[in-house]
Amino acid sequence: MKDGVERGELEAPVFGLGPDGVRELLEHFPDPTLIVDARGIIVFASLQVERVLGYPPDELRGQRVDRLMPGRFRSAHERHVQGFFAAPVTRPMGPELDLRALTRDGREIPVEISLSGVGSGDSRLVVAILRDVSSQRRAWAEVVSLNRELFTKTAELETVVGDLRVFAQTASHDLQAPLRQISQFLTLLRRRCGDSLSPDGLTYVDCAVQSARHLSELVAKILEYSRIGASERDFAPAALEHVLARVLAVLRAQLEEVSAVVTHDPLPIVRADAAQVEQLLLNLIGNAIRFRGKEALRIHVSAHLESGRWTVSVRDNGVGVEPAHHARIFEMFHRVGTDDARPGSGVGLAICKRVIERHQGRIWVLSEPGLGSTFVFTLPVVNEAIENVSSERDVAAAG
Amino acid sequence: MLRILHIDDDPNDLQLFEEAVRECRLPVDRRTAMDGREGLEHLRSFLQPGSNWRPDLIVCDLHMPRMDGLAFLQALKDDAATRHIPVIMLTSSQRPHDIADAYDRQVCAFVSKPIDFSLLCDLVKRTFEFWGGAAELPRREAS
Repeated sequence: MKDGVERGELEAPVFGLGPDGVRELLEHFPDPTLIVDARGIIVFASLQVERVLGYPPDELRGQRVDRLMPGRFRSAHERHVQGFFAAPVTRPMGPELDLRALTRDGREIPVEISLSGVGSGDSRLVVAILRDVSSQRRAWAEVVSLNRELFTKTAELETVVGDLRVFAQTASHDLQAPLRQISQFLTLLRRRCGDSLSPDGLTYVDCAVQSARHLSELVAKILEYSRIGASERDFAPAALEHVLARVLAVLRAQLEEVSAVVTHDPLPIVRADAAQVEQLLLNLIGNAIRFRGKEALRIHVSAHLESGRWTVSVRDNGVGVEPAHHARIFEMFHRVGTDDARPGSGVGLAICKRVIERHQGRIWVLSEPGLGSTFVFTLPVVNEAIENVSSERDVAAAG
Repeated sequence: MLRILHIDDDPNDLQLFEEAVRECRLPVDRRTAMDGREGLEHLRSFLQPGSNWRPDLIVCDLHMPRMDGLAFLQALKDDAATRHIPVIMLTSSQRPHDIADAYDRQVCAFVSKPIDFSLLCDLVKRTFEFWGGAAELPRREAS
């Protein structure tokens, strides 16, 4: 080893210091320092040895160095000393070992020891620099324990999330059937027994049917929400223009009914789960229809590249959202106002948020009451390397 | 007359289907079973020599105790004596996985149970018109 001290002598003067100066220099090393001869006898112990191990320096001089280690290490140490003198290179001692030093009052403390050989023949010496690593070991043990705890908690959390998803799916699925049947039997009641019901009775039946339908839609939405998994398996290049076209086809009747005009800029190909992005746009444009203003509804979809992701905006000229609701509208079951003329489950935007989060993106709204809303979300690019280069080029060109 | 074997563990759904057939005044002759295993047992007895009733069409639920719709479908398609019978899966599931599994086992159509009674009537009517009218079915004479 090149940096090993294969030969060397403790000679004065060093840096212009006499023997006393060298001793003083060693005394003031910040870590406890021992010098041991070829027989394993301590010839020097610095003042710091007393601070860490409790021995006054004079007490150790002439003692065997192995008295500073717990009994179980002593026999092995003898061999290691011979081994070290055979190849006296500067190195940490037993870096893989959990080394312990014995204090004067019999405590064991964890230490790291650096060894260096000086001199030759019978006058060879070993310089051992100790470092008390109790606090590091404690910190490390704490990190290990916290890590283990974190691991356990994460596993527990994953189980709970999985259980909850299964619960939501099962519950919503099992709720669906009786709800559907309530609504259908009520319809049958009206059709077959309508004659024997008073006008009030018929109204009650209609209200019950409507409530059952509403609940059924809500349950369907919860089911939809719980189905948005976290796997990236279905991520693939998806042309946003095609996705939008499918959404517009699904909503065509509703859009025509309110004479809505939907326009869009050229839209990119994104790396996404196309079915989920379709669901997202369906919810956003469905909301734009529900929350349209007095003017004819106009919706515009655009996209631009920003910080290596596509930022997509869906702008409408609808009633807008109070700033106080901007964050909360994405929460599950949050509904703006209690206006029953605008039916909704309060799950649609929660689904949008979940879809976008699954794509490691963000969704937010820019809106003022009466001034329309712009829902903005980010989606991954198809090829990060290529898109980032073109993004930088765009910025450069713009600058 | 369209002969339907209807398999569903939910008696309400069996009854609602019956009500829709009645509502539409369709010439449907319907037998029922409460799960896949009972469905197979009925089928075996229907296929015995001397039996004068064989289904033209099977309408089957997906989630059922003892034997679910997919296992029933598999058993039906594995048996040379029954694999020709068209099966419509009528279920409340809309899980893509269930849909794919059913078509993998050669279901003729995977249909969600409608929410409204009028939609159920439409479905029953269209099913009758297609399978009892437009579609040519094998072994019609074997009754």
